[in-house]
Amino acid sequence: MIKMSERLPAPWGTRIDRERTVEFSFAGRTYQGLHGDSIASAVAANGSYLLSRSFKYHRPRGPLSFAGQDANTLVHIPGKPNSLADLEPATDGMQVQPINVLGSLQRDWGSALGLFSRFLPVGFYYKAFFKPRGIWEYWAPIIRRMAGLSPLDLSYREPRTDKFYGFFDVVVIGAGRAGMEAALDAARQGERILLLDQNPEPGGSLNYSRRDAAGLAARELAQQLAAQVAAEPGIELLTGATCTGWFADHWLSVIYRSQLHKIRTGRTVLAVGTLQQPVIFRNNDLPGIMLCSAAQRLLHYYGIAPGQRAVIVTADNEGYACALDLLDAGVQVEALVDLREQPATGEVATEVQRRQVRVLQGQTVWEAQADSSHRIAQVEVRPLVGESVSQHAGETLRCDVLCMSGGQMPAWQLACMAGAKLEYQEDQARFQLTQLPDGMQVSGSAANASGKDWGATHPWPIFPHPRGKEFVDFDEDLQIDDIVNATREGYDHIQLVKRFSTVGMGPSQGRHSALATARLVARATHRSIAETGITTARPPASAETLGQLAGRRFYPTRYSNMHQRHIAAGATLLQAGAWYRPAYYGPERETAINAEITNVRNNAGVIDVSTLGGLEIRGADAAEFLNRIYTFAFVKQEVGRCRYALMTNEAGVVIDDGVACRLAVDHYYVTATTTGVDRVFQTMLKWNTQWQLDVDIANVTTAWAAVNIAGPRSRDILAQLCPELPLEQEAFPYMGARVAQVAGIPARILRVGFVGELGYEIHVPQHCGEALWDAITDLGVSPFGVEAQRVLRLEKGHVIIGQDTDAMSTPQQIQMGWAVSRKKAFFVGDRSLRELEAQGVGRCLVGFVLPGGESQLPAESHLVVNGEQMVGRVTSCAYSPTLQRGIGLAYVSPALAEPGTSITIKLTGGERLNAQVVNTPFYDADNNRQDI
Amino acid sequence: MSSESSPPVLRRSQLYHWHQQQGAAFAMTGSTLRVLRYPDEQAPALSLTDLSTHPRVGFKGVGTRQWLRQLAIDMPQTPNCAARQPDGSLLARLSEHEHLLLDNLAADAPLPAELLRRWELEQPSQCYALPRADSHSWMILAGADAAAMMSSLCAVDLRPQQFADGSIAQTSVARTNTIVIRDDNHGLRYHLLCDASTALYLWNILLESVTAFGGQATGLEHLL
Repeated sequence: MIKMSERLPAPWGTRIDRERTVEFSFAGRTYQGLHGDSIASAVAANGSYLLSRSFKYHRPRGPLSFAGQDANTLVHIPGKPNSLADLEPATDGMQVQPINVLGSLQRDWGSALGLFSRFLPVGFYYKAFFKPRGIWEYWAPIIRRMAGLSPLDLSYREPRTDKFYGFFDVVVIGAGRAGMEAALDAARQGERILLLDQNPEPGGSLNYSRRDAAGLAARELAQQLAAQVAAEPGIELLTGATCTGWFADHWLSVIYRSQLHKIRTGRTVLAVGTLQQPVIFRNNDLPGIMLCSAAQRLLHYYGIAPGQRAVIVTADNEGYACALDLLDAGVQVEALVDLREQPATGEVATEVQRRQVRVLQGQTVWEAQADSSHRIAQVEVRPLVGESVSQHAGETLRCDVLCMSGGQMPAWQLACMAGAKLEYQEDQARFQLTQLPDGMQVSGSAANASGKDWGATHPWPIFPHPRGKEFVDFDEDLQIDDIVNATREGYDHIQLVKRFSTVGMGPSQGRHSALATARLVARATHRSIAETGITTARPPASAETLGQLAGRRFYPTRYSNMHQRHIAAGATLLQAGAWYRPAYYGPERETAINAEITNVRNNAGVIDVSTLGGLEIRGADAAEFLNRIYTFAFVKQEVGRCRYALMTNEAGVVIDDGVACRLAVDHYYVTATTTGVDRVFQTMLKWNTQWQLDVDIANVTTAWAAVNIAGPRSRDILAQLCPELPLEQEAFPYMGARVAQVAGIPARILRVGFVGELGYEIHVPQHCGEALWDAITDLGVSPFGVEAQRVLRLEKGHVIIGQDTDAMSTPQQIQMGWAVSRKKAFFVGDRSLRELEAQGVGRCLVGFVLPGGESQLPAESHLVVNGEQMVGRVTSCAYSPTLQRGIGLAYVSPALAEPGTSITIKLTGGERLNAQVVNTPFYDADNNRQDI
Repeated sequence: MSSESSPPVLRRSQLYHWHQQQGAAFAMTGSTLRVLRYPDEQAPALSLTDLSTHPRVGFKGVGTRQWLRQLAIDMPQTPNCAARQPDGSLLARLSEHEHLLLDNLAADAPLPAELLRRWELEQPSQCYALPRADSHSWMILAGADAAAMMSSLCAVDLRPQQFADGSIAQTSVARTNTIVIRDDNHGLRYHLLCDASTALYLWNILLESVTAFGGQATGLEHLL
């Protein structure tokens, strides 16, 4: 095990608990850290800054920002691929693996690619691997293997991740000085504020940066402001929360505790600070080279000195503050290399001079070199002549850490997602956010208004080297020449450069490359940096998992009140929309269905039809309303009678059917199909909005549970349940309707015959459904399921809307012209039907039978063919145990619709089956069994 | 087919079997069972209770308000508001012409039954009764964390400072249509009424969230 080196004493190390150690493995070795460490800080505490290999050249890489802003710290943790090691807390037993490694982290044979980088320019992929045609299939796996990030665990299942909705008057993003002050101001106005920060504590850069010579002011201010925020009830502080996107109307996506929070706010304050930029020189990516702010985070958060001997290269005053922190931590500062010609001024710079730090003014790091462990070992420093580097050999400085500050870039992503623009300030060599949308405010350093003394910034911290390896984009291993050459290839717009070179498209999304790229493209295309700009910012600004976006899965399901009884009876369920219905009862499908059919035909069975749609149509104009909505006539329908109700749309297409039961002169109870009732209800509301009839329409589908008792014994059974109700044919005829008590339950009884037997549909209040079911089955009545019902209705030739009809089916096509009244003035679809009829029927839905003994059955949508020509299709087909042969319905051309015609059905696989067109019903043609 | 252990009740909540499986203690009222308590109930700070067998009735139609006014019912002035009645029942105005009357927790308010009786007797013009006792299941979510819990299931801002006592939201909860009514008669409470066929689904979803907030399902005694 690798023992960690000693930490700096408090107050260094504000995040760590020195009493609690953690052990974890990284790259096969065991490391020790402290509770509060990130993986990267714990590895750094053990003296190592090598965390990963780069994407293209497999160069050794270490943390650049220690703030989760760069791709160098991407590691693999089981269940959490591509985690950022500088954000991810180190925990006991964690097993961490580096990524992009071919061989070992220390010895990666893929790094040999760097030797050939001259032959692998930007755009190399596009040019090299696509010819000859098809060769990409060969190269793709190889390239993906070499350039892949974390391996994917396809068996991984995301734990449940809720999504939350939040509502605030103001959301302040960033709980640094500016954010806390903005939140406190808003709270004083009585507003409700969400203050969020991705760090585990409020304070932002106050917690690690230095504002004064003594190094006390920032921390004291952070504590004061944090105390005020904590005492303010109007502020809700979320730490460890990352805003990943801004969307229209101030809708913010925030990831907090691995969950997506959808936040609506009236106003957004961005106090997101700035992103310190790297200096671009040869080998600026070696482990041990980091941003000044990264070194300060290591010191202040984790109590870790980033090295023993430091060099600082800076384009602004930030390097001076870093120098003082390093000195305070006992690190030897070899030199502070200041790119600027003019010496820095201010309290911090003065203190640096007082401590006799060697300042190399107007110079830069020309090249860095590593030792055998890949860590920086020395730098060569050269004077600058204007913005160019002297061609004369410079001074070599030995060091084990190089801290750099190449200037500042406001964290622009969220603002630009909202439509803000970045304007380049030539005099300050910085971008500034402008044209903010209504309701958005930028404050603090992101607005160049933090009061930080950055001083003048050197405008060109970019130093091309004849041998290259000056990295502009660490994610994609893009060097200065790659950007410049992209413009020479003709991609002379920043957006084209991005797409050709992939600059800014890696995990760090251009945080450290956008500014340098803008500068390089501007110069190469002879435009100003302001004209060049940067590429479009789009959400997410930080990584989100698909699981977080998907959130918890909600799949509503619907059950009737009798559902548990079906389960207890061994039902296999099928889904109809969101409803779960019993398909059949028993372990073996065919046996169960056939037995259920036989029982209905010879005895009596009961089926749960609670899913049927139910609509109450009430009011003085109820009959007139139905007359207009349905094809049949309803005005003269008697109270206590049912009538078949067929619905067509304006185009005359059949869209639903049911039964309209007249319970009173001004009251109809209408059934509709299970999956069609919502559409029927909406259609009714829509039409009556125009018609303004005196009618009330209510969807009462789930208010009523219902069963159908069907079979020759059904009257006897019902008689036992409602002895008061006369059930004889004369007293309660076919298509009659009664309101009565069934087993003590108030019920509506409809004598209808969907399955072609004597039958009663009994509708009772939903919560009485199970009691009704019990009362019926206690009499020994066996249940039958939807599958048996489908065969039973097919034997009667009854259509199922949606199965035997499609978006072109008219009543005439499905042989239901009898259900269309020609005597009434109007119904929806009437005019279209007349027009269609004038053109003649183009197809007919006919019944067909298969030869007795034929074991094969066509499936729905199998084609009816004439030679190779399609002349129709099958809509329903099943084996009829009653008729002991296959029967079905099919659309055929009118020429084939005559009973006795032989048709050919093409089965899956091309085999053909002969069938004969017959009249329907297949069974009980005179309807004697249901009307008795 | 019926279970021998099933009590001789005619009206059974969609959650009846769930309650049975938890070993609930029931009280019989008329032909209805109500859950009094569960064996493991521990007076949770956040609770979910099934009131589906409590009386309730709806009325809609352009003549509804006039009829209710004639009966001197205290009516909410605007849609999506609820008004408590002297007997403890709660009248929720769901739209311009639609009202829903919920019984009180003890299920002993006379108004729901009385209104239905008067409606059947008088058949008021353009006022139609709705079978809300069966079309909808009724649950109640009680506790200070209720709004925070609901924020993972519902996109409407239900926080007490925004969603005042008596407010109604007809919205989607876990992707199913739900009427949410805030009712602070005994602390922060939300009535949730969903299509009866989705009750088991919604109950399980809600209970999972309630449990994540340290709460549990409770019987009626916990609320009274």
